[in-house]
Amino acid sequence: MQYSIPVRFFICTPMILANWSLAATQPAAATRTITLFERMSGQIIRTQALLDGGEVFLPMDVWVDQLGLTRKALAGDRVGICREDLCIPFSVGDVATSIRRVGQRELVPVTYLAKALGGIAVWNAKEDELLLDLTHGPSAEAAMDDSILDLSLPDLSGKQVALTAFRGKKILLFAWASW
Amino acid sequence: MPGWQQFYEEHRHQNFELVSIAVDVQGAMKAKPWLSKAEATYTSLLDRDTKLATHFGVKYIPFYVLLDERGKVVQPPRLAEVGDKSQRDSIATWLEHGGVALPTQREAATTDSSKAEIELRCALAALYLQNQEIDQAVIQLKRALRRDPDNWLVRKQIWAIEHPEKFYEGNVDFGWQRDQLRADRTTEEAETNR
Repeated sequence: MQYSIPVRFFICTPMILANWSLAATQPAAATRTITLFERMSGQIIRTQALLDGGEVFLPMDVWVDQLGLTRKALAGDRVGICREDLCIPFSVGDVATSIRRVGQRELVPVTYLAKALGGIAVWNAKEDELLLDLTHGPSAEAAMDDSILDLSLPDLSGKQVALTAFRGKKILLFAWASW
Repeated sequence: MPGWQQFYEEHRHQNFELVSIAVDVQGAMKAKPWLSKAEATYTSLLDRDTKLATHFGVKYIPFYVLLDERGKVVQPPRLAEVGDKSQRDSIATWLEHGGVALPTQREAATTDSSKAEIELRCALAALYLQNQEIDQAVIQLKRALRRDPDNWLVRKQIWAIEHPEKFYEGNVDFGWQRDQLRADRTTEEAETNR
């Protein structure tokens, strides 16, 4: 089974998501070894993950040590996970949107965090693989024709070029392939 | 992309930039020979993850997009017809007088979640190719194709990786591509029905 929730359907209200998750049929929780790909850092990581209630939970050390996010203790036993100035607050508990605490370990809900950071998570249960893009930005969500095209691509030597660098000029983008 | 260098030279004084985007999961080395043969002086970028096509939901190639001075899309993707003079003329008219060159074509909608997955899998495939893990790259591209079997950009790149001799030695073998598509469809049907 595969699922993913596009950013625009993300509702930033933990209660609603929690109710939705509880209403779904819930297979028993399971710990699995999965393959994780994170696009921005270009890493492929093998890690333990907890599957519960339709959500995937990754250990805090993966987020902090490998994906470069920071953990902040907040008032009232809450935990913030931050990318620079953007912090997503979590309660500790056993609903789909909270951090699970198992002994010393903290497990963080993946789809919830990815959406909250404006990113994307795709979980493929059949092959135990998780595809993540934590800073996907507006591109996939942008409107089709009325939008400003804000895209960066590398030149042939690998240097990133933003299309906004050509502001003030008319641009013909020509996409082609050698194959 | 034959002929575009000349077009660029004729129009670059009109506050105009031509940006070539080579779509290739295998990286810059596949595009470079073509660009040096064309003696290209316009901006040349590389799109390993089919980012641009995914953004617009385009499933064919080559295509072009026109942006105005603010970066606003004034012409969503259109199939670029090789050797179609009227298409170039209409772009020249747009450069001269403004206005949108041609009516828009709407793409069949690919859902946002499929788009995200296809883009991520292409990015992962590019990473595997960089690490010389060809088999893993092909697995990821095939999973991307499973989400959108009509996506030519993904399908043809799988072919180009698995059968380079049909693409990079002399002329592209279109007869082979027809047969290969038939074989692919049969395999995919069998997989779906299993």
